[in-house]
Amino acid sequence: MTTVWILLALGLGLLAGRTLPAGVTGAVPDVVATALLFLLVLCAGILLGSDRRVVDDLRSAGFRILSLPFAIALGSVAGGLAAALLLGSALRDGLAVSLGFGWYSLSGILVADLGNPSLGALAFLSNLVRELTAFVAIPLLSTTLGGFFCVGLTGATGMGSTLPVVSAATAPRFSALSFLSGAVLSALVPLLIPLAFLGKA
Amino acid sequence: MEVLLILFVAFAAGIASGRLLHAGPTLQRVVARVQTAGILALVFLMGLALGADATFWERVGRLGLEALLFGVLTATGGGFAAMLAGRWIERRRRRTTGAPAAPASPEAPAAPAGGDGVG
Repeated sequence: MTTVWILLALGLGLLAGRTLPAGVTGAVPDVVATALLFLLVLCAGILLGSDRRVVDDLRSAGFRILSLPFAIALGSVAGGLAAALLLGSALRDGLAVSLGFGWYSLSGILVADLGNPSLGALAFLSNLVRELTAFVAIPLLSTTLGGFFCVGLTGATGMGSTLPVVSAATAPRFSALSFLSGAVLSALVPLLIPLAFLGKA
Repeated sequence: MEVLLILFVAFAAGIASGRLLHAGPTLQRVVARVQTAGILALVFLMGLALGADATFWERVGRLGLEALLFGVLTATGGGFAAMLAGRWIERRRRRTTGAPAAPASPEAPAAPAGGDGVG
């Protein structure tokens, strides 16, 4: 049911942005969305902090938790390479696009700069689709595929925009895992994308 | 980078508040409702910004199907890899601590009964 609301909100937003005059849409500054994001991340933190079992639970898993973002990175790259094979694109392109891990603004710029503008546009849009997929799929799949799957869907956005969805749809400990893996993946994006273009003429 | 730092501070402040306030079911329910409304508002604002961007529509027309395939496959790949890593983490944790299995998932939503958390 909530997925329907999320799709509806996105559709209405797109429609409003497309149809309303630029003066109206421009009146909603980025700062409102950013402030809202901070409030939502604060809420996710409150729900996490109110569950005292989470810290013990995470402590007992130890450093093995750090394997999670690296597994997500490998899985994302595998997905990107599979998409490149299906589309008959160069594997390097698939690799570069997948290494955005959902951070569409940065990956679009980096890939356009290091590759070409068309590939940059594809990186931007693909990583935007990844973020939207997380928004829509997490409420739908959290009960069937579980919290770890949801964290994997979010990629780098797990520490920001999609963290509230993980927090609302899964157990509190997955908020902590989402934030942690999102932070690691966000740090990896600017380091890994240039590697995809190493040796490029 | 500044935004990432502020997100970290907001998350840490939230955790500290949750622990200090001993957030009970009522507060948790309020927070869950704020969260649900906030998620919908955030998605609407995201759509508004994208919809107003002419280059976005041009890109969708040109690269939409490719982007859909890349986006869905990278997300799904990340999801299944995380699931496998999660199983490994839980198995090792049980072996090391002898603790009973943390409910793997699916798990109950953070929102208390009666809350309208997403999902």
